[in-house]
Amino acid sequence: MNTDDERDPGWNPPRIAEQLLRRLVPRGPIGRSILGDAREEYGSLARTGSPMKASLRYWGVVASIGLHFLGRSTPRDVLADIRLAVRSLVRRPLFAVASVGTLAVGIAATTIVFSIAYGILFRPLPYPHADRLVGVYREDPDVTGLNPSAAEVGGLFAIPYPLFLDWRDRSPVFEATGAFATWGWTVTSDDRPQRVMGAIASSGVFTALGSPAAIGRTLVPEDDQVGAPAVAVLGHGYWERAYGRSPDVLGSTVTLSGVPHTVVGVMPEGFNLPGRTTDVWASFDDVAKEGQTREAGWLQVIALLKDGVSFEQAEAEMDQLALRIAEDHPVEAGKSVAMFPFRDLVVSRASAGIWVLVAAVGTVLLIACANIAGLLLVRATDRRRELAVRLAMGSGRARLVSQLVAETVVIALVGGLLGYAASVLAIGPFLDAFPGGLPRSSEVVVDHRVLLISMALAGVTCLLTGILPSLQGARTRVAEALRGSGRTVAGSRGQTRIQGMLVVSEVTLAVFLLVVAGLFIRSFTGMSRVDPGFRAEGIMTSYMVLPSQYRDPPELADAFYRDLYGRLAAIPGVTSVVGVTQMPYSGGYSAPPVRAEGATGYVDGTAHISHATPGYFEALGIPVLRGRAFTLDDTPDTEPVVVVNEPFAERYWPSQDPIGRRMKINSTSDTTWFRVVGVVTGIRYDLDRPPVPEFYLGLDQLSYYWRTVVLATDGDPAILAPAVRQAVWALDRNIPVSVRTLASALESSPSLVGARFGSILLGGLAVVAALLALLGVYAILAYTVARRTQEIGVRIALGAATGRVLRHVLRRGLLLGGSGIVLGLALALAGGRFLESLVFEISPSDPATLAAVAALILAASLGAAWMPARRAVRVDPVEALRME
Amino acid sequence: MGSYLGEFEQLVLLSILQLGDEASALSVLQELDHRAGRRVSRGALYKTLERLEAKGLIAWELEDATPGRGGHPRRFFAVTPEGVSALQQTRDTLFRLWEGLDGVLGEPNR
Repeated sequence: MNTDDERDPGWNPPRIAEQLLRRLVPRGPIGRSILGDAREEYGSLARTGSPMKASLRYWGVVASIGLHFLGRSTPRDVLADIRLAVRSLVRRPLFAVASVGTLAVGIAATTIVFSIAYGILFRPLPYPHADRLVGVYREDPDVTGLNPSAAEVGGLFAIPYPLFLDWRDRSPVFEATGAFATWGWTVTSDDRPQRVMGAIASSGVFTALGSPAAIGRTLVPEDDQVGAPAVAVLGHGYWERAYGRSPDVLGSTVTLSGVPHTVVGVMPEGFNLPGRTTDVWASFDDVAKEGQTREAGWLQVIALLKDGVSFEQAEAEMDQLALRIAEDHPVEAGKSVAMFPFRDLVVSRASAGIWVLVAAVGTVLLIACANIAGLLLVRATDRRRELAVRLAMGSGRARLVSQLVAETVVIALVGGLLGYAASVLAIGPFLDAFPGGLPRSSEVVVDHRVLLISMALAGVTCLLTGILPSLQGARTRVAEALRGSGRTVAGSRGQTRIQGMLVVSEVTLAVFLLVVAGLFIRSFTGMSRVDPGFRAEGIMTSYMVLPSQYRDPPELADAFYRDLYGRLAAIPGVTSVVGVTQMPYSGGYSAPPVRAEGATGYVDGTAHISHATPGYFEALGIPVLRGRAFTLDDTPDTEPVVVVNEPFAERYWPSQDPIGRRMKINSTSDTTWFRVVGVVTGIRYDLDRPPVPEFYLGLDQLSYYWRTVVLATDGDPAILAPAVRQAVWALDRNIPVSVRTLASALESSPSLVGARFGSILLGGLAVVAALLALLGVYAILAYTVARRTQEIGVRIALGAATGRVLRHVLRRGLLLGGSGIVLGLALALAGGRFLESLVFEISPSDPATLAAVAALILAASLGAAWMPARRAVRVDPVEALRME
Repeated sequence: MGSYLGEFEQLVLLSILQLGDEASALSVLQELDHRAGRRVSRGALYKTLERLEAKGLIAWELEDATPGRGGHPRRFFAVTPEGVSALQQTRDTLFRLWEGLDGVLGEPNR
């Protein structure tokens, strides 16, 4: 029956739909009359106007008939089909486990990683005009080489208050401009001192972020005026915790580190600075508002671009403004404005890595799909004969197909559900493994759209590869299939080739992924082996801020700390107690402008600043290269001294002896000169960046009411925590104590966390990919051996040495694995360029990694081939021949 | 004892009777739409026709290829005597049950 000749030229329904319908309807006159009905209706609809509508209608008819003729029309039949499907799957547990497992793993991996990527990268920031929000910084050519990535803006780019005012009042492109500094206060409630984190902010922050208060008001422009009373806006979480959501909080007073603030409002739930919980928003005090210095920046500025102003336009305008500001304030000369879309500021560091993960997970899904395709293809071939027999015995084609559909659906459903369960269960522990390391991770949840997409993808793969071959099977000429005994059926050679191609591409992708993962793991281990320049083991740190009564006169703070040091030193196991203002890996740092006397390199620039007590360098194992460290003889009454690090000396006094030279901090109004007495080695503030210029002032020469108290011990520093708290509270119950070991701080440094995140995730994905690919290798060989049992039996009967048979199967395994390895390595080499920026001190074509992956996969392919090979050797010729 | 007739089966049978010689699948669909206000999916209709045929309540004959149908034939359906008596039984049963309920349900709206 060749109906193509009968297609009339004018009104033909969609060809694919018609073909499909032809397969769905029963053979014979009834089927043909149904086809005719559909065609007639299509023609009349198309003639009366809309071919589009007619096509849609035709597809609708196809779907409706498909549903009624394929699926059984009563639920009982559907249930019967499902029961049959489950039973048939249980009978072949290996196939069932392999296909369901592959599906579940593919879906879970995809969902987890895509959810994370979506939560961090694509989900809009929770601010109404997030796309128009920018972070604004001052770019200073003097600090080239120190530029941190945008995500970790510290002191280097920070903005002085007067410059913020210039921008706020003079920028033609900003609709709102806000400045803030993250801040911490001590608040004593119920006699327990508590550290409360938040920000000092101008009203513009609220305008820019675009959120009204939940109750009361936000900060408003009047609060930015000099002389305005101190006010505070509470974060929702803090309002809940500290005030039990009482609305009476409005108008009450909260004492932040000794300064009373009037509570004027509470922000809605979830309103935070990005990536951190903000408990309190306080207005700037007059000291800040009246500050005139333009050298020391301490603020972050965010701005809302006017509607319709492009980012580039804004940059150009701000550069112009910078020039005009420099005319009025010479100190601004040579400095320009750097702007970043707010989103980049929040996620930039993680984004490149996330894209690699997304690519990797896509690869795993591809491998999983290829694997399922291979498995179902094998199954379809195996069932050709079974289907032919059932057809011969009078089974309806529709009924057979509906059973096959049921089976595929059962696989897809069970696999999908397991995948779903796995992703829901695993995503939490996953994120927990990276405390503080992922920005916006609190916003990550299993994304159901993502889940649906990956399930749909896997489902379509199942249907295509499971049902189409089965349909083909169902259409097999019965006699031919029966005669063929499923062994020499025409087309099976082509099918084996398709399977081979599937497996080779799986191995290729897996090898590629393993190489990438290997590079990340080597980067990570390389990074964790990097010497940060100090010893992290056996160090306990405790950051503390003394209440205001210790600040005036400042000697009170000195006396307190002296007393405390004595008590801490008496704790058994403690070898030394020192103090420092800038602990490495405590988050944040400041870098004021400095001037070096007689500098031959830079005269003016910036450098990290810290203050340390005598013994600090020794306690942290930082070598003194020249001169001396601080001693007890450095007191407020002796000449102010400074210890600089090696990069500092090289930057300002290259090839000179810095000892005895002087430097000063530009921003200090009194122009104190500090004499250089020593040079120490630089320490890394970020493991993947070299040490930056830094200088240390004597903490005992200047009085500071806050600092990090550092305890060195020979044992485990973590067990010191209770003793430290006791010692502090024995002196004053009103001082909050937070303790942390330096090792754990180092452990959670952003670069290390990022590298570990990448390694673990990629490593895991790569292992999954490799296992799936090897399962593919195993499946195809096992299938081939099973299919050729008779042939092998004959060979053995004719005297073929078993060693030869063994070699034959193994060779095929090696061929599959080897082709995949060669292609995968080629892919890795070609793609290496894109990885260069993501790996640390290792070449993307690192021979050791490539060789290791190749060897691993080669060995594993042999392993996967071994079992089928053994089975081939054990073939009993008599049994095999009897099957004939 | 005739077989039980579902509501949709009754509708299909009645439509075929109403259409007389013109009862093809497409015209039954139209009839159901116009007279009973029922939009029926194609698959459901064919399945019901199949079932009615299996119960012996309808029969069909094939009209040869007509233009506009891609060379495919058209089936015309007719209600068998068994079908007619099944409808009668159903109607009688329903009438008995409806009787005397006009006070509650109101006059039938023809």
